Amino acid sequence: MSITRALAALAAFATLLTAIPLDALAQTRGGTLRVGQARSPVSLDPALGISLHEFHVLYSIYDGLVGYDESLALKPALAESWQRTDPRTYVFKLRRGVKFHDGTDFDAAAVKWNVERILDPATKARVRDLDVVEAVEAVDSHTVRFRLKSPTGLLPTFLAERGGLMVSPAASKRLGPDLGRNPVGTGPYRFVEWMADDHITLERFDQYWDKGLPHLDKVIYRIIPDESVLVTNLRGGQIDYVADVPPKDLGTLRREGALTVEQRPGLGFYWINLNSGIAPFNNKAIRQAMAYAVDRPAMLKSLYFGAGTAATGPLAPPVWAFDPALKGYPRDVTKAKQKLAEGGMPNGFTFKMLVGSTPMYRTNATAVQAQLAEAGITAELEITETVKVLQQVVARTYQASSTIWIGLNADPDFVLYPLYAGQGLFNKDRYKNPKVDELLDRARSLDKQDERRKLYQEAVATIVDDAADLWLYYPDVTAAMSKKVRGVSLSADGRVRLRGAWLEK
Amino acid sequence: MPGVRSPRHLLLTPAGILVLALVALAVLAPLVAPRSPNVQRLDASLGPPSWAYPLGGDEFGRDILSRLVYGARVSLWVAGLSVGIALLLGTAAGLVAGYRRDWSDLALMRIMDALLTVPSLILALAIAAALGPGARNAAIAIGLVYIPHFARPVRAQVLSLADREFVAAARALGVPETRVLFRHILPNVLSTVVVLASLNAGFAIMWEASLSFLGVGVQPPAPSWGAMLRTGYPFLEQAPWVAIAPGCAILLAVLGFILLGDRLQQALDPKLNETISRSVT
Amino acid sequence: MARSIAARLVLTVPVLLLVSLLVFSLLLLIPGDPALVILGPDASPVEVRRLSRELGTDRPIVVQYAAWLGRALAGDLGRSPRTGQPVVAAVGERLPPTVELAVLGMVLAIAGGGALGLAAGWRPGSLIDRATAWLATLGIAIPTFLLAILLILGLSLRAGLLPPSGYVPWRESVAGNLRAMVLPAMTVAATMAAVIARVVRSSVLETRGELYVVTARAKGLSEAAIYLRHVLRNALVPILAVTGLQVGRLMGGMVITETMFAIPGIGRLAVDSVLARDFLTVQGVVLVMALWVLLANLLVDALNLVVDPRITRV
Repeated sequence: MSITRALAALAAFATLLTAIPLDALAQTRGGTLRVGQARSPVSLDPALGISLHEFHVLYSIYDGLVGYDESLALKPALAESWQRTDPRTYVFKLRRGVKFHDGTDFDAAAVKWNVERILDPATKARVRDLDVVEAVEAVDSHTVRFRLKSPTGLLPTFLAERGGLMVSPAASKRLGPDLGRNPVGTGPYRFVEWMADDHITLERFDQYWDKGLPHLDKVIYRIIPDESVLVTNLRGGQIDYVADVPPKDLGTLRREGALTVEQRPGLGFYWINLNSGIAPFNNKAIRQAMAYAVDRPAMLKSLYFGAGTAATGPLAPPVWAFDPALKGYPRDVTKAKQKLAEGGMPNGFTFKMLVGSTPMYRTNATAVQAQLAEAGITAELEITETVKVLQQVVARTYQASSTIWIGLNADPDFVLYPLYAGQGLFNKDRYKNPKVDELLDRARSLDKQDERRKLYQEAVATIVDDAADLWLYYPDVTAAMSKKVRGVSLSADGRVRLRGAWLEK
Repeated sequence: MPGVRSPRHLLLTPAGILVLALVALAVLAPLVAPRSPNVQRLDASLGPPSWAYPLGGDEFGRDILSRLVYGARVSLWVAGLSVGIALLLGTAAGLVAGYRRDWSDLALMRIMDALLTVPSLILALAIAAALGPGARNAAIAIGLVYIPHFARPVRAQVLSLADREFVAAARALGVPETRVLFRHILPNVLSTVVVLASLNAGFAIMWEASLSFLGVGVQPPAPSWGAMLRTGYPFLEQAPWVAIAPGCAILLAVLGFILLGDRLQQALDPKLNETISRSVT
Repeated sequence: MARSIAARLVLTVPVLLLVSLLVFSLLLLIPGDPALVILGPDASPVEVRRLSRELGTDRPIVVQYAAWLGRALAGDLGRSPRTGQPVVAAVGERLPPTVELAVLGMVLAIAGGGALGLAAGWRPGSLIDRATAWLATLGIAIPTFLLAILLILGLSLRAGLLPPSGYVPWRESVAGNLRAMVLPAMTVAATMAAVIARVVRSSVLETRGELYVVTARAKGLSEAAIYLRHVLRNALVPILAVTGLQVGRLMGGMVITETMFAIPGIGRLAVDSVLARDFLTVQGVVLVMALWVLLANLLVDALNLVVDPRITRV
């Protein structure tokens, strides 16, 4: 063989090597991953929990019928495929050979049992997505048919959220209310122990249906309520992974270079919820005055250390109906005062803003208070516990409230319907606009993204013009981890998924 | 008050000067503070100490020095209110219990025992949490929890005084009981009370800070030292001045009151040392 | 001796009752219906009424207290509406770390404070004496959380010597457990050490002037022997007294320490429960803490009688 041929072969071989992703090459089995988080789950029963950070643990223990890929598009999970046979019927084909952690089989009967459990008032499930389901039947051992009360294209998305996380019926019957502290699912890791307010331990489920996964032996979730302590522990090596890194630490961690820091645009937004059902915010010009008075970019830069995007409306960039051409309200104190006059309050007015106990809500409220004052609007802050705030919000006796909206996934309906539809869960007696209702209802019933997108963008344009609420900024989702941690990807929903995680030796 | 040395002497000690400075700061806040404590300049957020902001800026770009000065008001107000409550109720209880020495004594002292048995911080936390956030509720909580710290030493004092000759003499002369209490016993107890007030004022400031730090008590955006420490603590690494300034202020104020209390103790009656340390510490 | 201890034991009962009454009355301070607070705002009026009846909050407060007391005496402190876990189990889980921290803290305080006090008393007016006096004042004046911050900054973040927080269970690693406990124990011990130092110092000064010490010196015993035999033994008395008084304060310090160092003890449980308005758990925790304080005081008094029979009971 000539030298040239040999060299060519060598080059080809080398190119081949570089084409193979390093990750796939070096995956090692074993190890314990320690995840740190600030808030403890209240319950590991998917039907009963209430907040996003519970998903960090739930996704390790349970699988949903439907799952998300990294860009938050739907993909098969426990269901291999699904079909909408008519506007009100869906048929799901289930994956075979899946077992729950307690050894029982996952089948159509289990799915039926799970859905009915959520719909049963005795369960007191917090998740209400599945209320649209009229009936669920097991057609055969691995086929399920859903009949819906109204034509909605959203069922698969609902089944990728809490409503679709499958619990072992046998375990639930056996444990009753203790299921929340002794969860049994089909996920990659099985539950070992939960020491309240300290840690939750999971271990590899050897019969996981996705052969070869998971790689880790154990996962330990450490609950460390103080964010600074959390970060300190990460740097000190006592924990390996933190989701939700405080924005002020991102710069420091990157500069130090000892950890991997990931950041990408998130789905939610910090906002001031305006009760447009009563005075003074039932007046569009007044709401617009508020919108012009707030300096969103400055708040984002100084209070959130630039870890986000200034908000124009209720949809964040990763939501597929986000319209980059939409212009929100730039800060303009003169225009604000004009709008005040237009609204009949040229000398400004006073209102009360409720603020819950989370520090960022207070920080935002304090800054907004100062900015509104420059336009002549006086905001009185009432700082109290989150529960009291919620009570007033639900009773619609509040005028404004500083809070956050956590985005669960990239579907615009999840934001717009509850907040801006007449029948929306969080909107009764608040924002009323029949045109928006019509657009949202129509968009729900369709299942082609392009058609829906047009409708949603029209709806959002109206909502923004109405200045229905004061959207401040979309915080980025962040994660920081030891350089040994691989195979955990950060999605725009910020939920930790450890299925493919592995530790470099 | 018997046995007092010149008060001017006391005020010139380092402790006395500290406390006086604190009071002056609180009273003269609007004159002393270079700017308003609430004006925000977001572009100066977490700025280091500079000509315009001698102690630096907090996360909203507010002047820390001004907030510190106005914060003295809140701290002193809470200290004053809580010590006032504890002093009035505690002294009354101690007087009654020590003088009457009957069932009321037993009952009152058992209540004091109960109050002391529950770890004070938890009790204050629980009361403040139940009442709701705010400086006034924190002060009430601290005041209630500190009642035994006045009641017990006062009672001990009264017990020892009631045996003295001048009381027996007054009684023999037919002076009515209440008069004996107010004219003869109370003045002697006052020295104890003054020392205790000073000591406990210092602790009250520390407790207000602790309660604010834990999340009850004074809430931001009010300029209270405890609240400033709470919101400044996360920035300890990148902007330490935000937390160090109120931390030092708290430390100095507490030290001042405690040292003043020590001085008063020495000046008024060294024998008090025993009574106080045995029933208070 | 046995009689006075028995008498004290009997007296603890009314005190405990008063404590439980005290904590229970905190429920009166909460504005609004506790059931509503627990269930949250999206509860239907029917649900609220049902929980109300279950909790018994619709009955007069005296009846509620009696019911709670009855159950408590049987060992049932109720179920936390926040986590669903029985209060007794929650407290039981959290007790070991707190007890460990308390013991370590006391050991550190007695050893450190005692050593300083002895040294200061040995050479009154010296540098050690004045330094001890200042340290003692500082130890009393410094707020617990400030001390914790300084310790974490200095010994952990900058020097990297010790872990900044966290609790390592004994099962996992004894060495790890002790390492993680160093900073918290120091934080907890500070105030007590300061008081002990002061008190030991004055005791030492007092003892040195006593007649029998002078006599012993005249007999020719070395300074060291005198110190060890008489001074130390006399210093034990005030140390015990202070320990007894400080046990309650210690608990308070532990609340903040456990929160800052993320130790899963009952101090942290107390704070979390109070902030979450989970007053049922708070009652349980406070009762346990009160019991602890009372028992500790009893123990101290008993030890006192053993150590120095000259003490007269008041």
